[in-house]
Amino acid sequence: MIVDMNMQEKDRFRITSHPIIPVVKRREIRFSFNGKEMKAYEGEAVTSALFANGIKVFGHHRRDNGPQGIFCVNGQCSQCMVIADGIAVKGCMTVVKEGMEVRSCDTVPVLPEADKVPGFKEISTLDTEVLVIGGGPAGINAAIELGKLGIEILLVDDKPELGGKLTLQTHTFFGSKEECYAGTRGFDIARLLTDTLGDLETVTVMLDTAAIGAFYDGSVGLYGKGGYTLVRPKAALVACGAREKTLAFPGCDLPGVYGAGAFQTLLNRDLIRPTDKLFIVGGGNVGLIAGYHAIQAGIKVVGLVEALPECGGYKVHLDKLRRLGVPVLTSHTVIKAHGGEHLDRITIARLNSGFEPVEGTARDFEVDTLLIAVGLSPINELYDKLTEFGIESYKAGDAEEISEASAAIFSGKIVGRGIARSLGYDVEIPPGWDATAQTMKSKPGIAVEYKPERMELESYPLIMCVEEIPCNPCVDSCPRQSIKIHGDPIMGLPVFEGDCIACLKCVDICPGLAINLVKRNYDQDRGTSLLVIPFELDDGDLIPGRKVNTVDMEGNPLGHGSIVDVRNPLLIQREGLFRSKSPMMTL
Amino acid sequence: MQEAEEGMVRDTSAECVTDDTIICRCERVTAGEIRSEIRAGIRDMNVLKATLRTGMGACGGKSCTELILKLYEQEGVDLSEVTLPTNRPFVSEIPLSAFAGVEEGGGE
Repeated sequence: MIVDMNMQEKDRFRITSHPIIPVVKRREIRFSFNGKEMKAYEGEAVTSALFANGIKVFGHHRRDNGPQGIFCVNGQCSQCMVIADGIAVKGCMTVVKEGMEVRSCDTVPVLPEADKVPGFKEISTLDTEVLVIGGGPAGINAAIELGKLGIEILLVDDKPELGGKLTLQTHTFFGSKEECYAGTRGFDIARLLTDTLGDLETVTVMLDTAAIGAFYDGSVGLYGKGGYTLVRPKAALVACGAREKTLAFPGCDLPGVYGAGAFQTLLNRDLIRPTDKLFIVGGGNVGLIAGYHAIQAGIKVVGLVEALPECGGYKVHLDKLRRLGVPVLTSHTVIKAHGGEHLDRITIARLNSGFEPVEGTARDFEVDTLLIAVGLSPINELYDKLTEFGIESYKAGDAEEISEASAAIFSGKIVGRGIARSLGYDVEIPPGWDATAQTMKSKPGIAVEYKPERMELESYPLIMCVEEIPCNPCVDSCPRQSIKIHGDPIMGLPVFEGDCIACLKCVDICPGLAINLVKRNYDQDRGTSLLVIPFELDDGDLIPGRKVNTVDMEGNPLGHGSIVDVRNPLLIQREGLFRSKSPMMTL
Repeated sequence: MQEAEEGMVRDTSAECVTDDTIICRCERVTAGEIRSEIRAGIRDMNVLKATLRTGMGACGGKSCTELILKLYEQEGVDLSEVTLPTNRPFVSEIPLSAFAGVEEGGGE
C-alpha cells in the first residue's frame, strides 16, 4: 500500500529511537514541495521537513544553476532559501505549517501581488532596562543574575526554544560540578536554566524573535511573531553565540557538505537522520563530538581528518571515536568534493609541514555527507552597531570569545552582574569567578602516558584521564573521597587513592567516559576480572554471553572478553536525566 | 573504511582553492573572479561587493568575508591595506511586510 511505503520512506530519514534523546510523538501535518504533497511534524523547520522526505537539494541558483542545500541550519547563511507560501525564507528558520506550499527558489524572488497601494505600518515601541540578545548559556545566565536583582529584562532569541546550542548536546558536561553543571547532559542543563529563568518575575522572554539592527537614536529593532518592534534599553548584552566557519575547496558548495553544528541540529534537535555514513573535517571538540553524536544515531563515521599534526579537541572525545573504530587522520585535509547534484565522493590528502598536499597521498572515500568543523566565529555585528550608536553594550559567551559552553555559563554570570553594577545596583562579583571563567576557557594540557595500575584491592577504578582539561565531577562523585586531584582543583588529573566500594558513581559521571571499574577475581576458576565500562550507544548488541573484541583507551586492539551483564541506569538524579548503561564484561 | 581508487593530487598549491571554487555561497562568486579583482589592485571589499556582489546576498557576507581575506593573504596582500566591507542594517533578513503592507484587519 502507498501509505505503508510512505511510512517506510519517512522513517528512513528520521531517528525513531535514540540511546540518549527521548523520541517524543509529534502531530503529523501535510505540506507540499514543488507541488508534491509531503508529511512533516508540527513545529519542525522547513529544512528538517524536507530532509525527512529525502529532499537534500532544495533548488538551483539563479546565477549558474548550482544546486542548493543546507550549510549552517542556524539562520546564518542563505543556502537553504526556499519560497514558502510565496515569500522567500531561510528554510532552517521557518516552521513548516499545515498546507504550506514550499517551492524551490530558482530565480530572484518576486514580491507577492497586491491589489491596493501598500502603506507604512505603525511601529510599536517597548522600554526595558536590559535587552539580552541570545538565550544560550551566556544570555540565560546573565538574565538570571539580573533577574534575581529585580532588574527588568527583555531576553530575545531567534529560535523557538531557549538553551542555544546546549539543546543539541547529548553528552554530559565538563567543568566543575558546583559551578557549571558538570556531569549533566547539555540538553538537561538547557532545561534547568530555562526553569530557573521562568521563576524570575522581571524577566520577559520573546522567542522566535531576532534583534536585527541598532539605530542612531538608541533603539534596537526586533522582528518576531508580533511583527516589528523598536526597544530602547538602558543597556544591551550581545550573547548571540557563534557561527560555523566555512572552508574553501573545489566542490565545497555542493549539497551534502555542511557544518558539523548544522548536522547536530538536524540530528539532536529535529531527530533527522540525514545519511547512513559521513566524513568529518576538523578535529576540534565540535568535529569530535559531532562524530560521536553520529554514532549514537547509528550513522557510520567513515573517517575524520585534521590539518594540524594533533587534534585540538579533548583527548577523551578523540579516544571515544577511536575506540569505536573511527580512523582519525592528522596532517590530512579534504582537497576536493565530487558530485553533480549532490556530494557522492571526497578526496583527502596528507599535508606537509607547510600545509601543502603531498603528491601521491590522495585517497577517495564514497560518502554523501561531509561535515565541516573548522572553527567558529563570534556573532557580534550587532555589538559593533550598538557601540557605534552609543548604546551601553556588553558581550558574553562565544560572541565575546569562542570557548566551551561551561565558560559561556560563567561569562554570562560575570557580565550579568557587571551590567547590574553599572546600572547602580549594589552587587558583588565574587573574586573567584573570573579565575574560574578563565579556567573553563583553558586549552587542554599535554597528555601524559597512561600506565594502568594493578592493585591488590577487591575493586578499583581505572581512571584513563591523562590530559589536563577543566573537569572534576569524579572527585565529588566518590562517597569514599578516594578520587583526588593534586594541583589545580579543576584542571589537575584525578588519581585514585584509598578504598573503593564499587558503587560505580565515578564510572557514571565521567563526561569523557574515561573511567572503568575493575572487580578482581570475578571468576576464580578462570582467573578473570570483571570490568565495568560506560556505554552510551544503542544497546541492542549487548547480549550477555556475547564475545566482544576489547580495545585499549585509544582504540588499539587488546584481546577479547565476554559480556556478563548490562547494568541499567543507577544514578537517576531526577526525572528526565538520562544516564548511560554499562555493560559488564570479563577479561 | 570504504576506499575508492587511489588518485594523484595534481594541484599542490598551498591552499588547493582552484579558480572555480565557490567563495561567496549566496551569490555564487568564485575564487578566480575575486583573485582577478585583487590582482587588478582592488583593496576595498566594498568595491568587491559592488562589482562581484560578494557579501551582497541574503547572508550579508557572514560566510565569505573571512574566506576573501584569506585570498588576499594568499595573493601576498598585507591585510592592513584591505578595507573591510561596511556592515549595514539589518543583520538578518526581515520581510518588507513588517514595515509596509495592505492593512487587512491588522494582517502580517
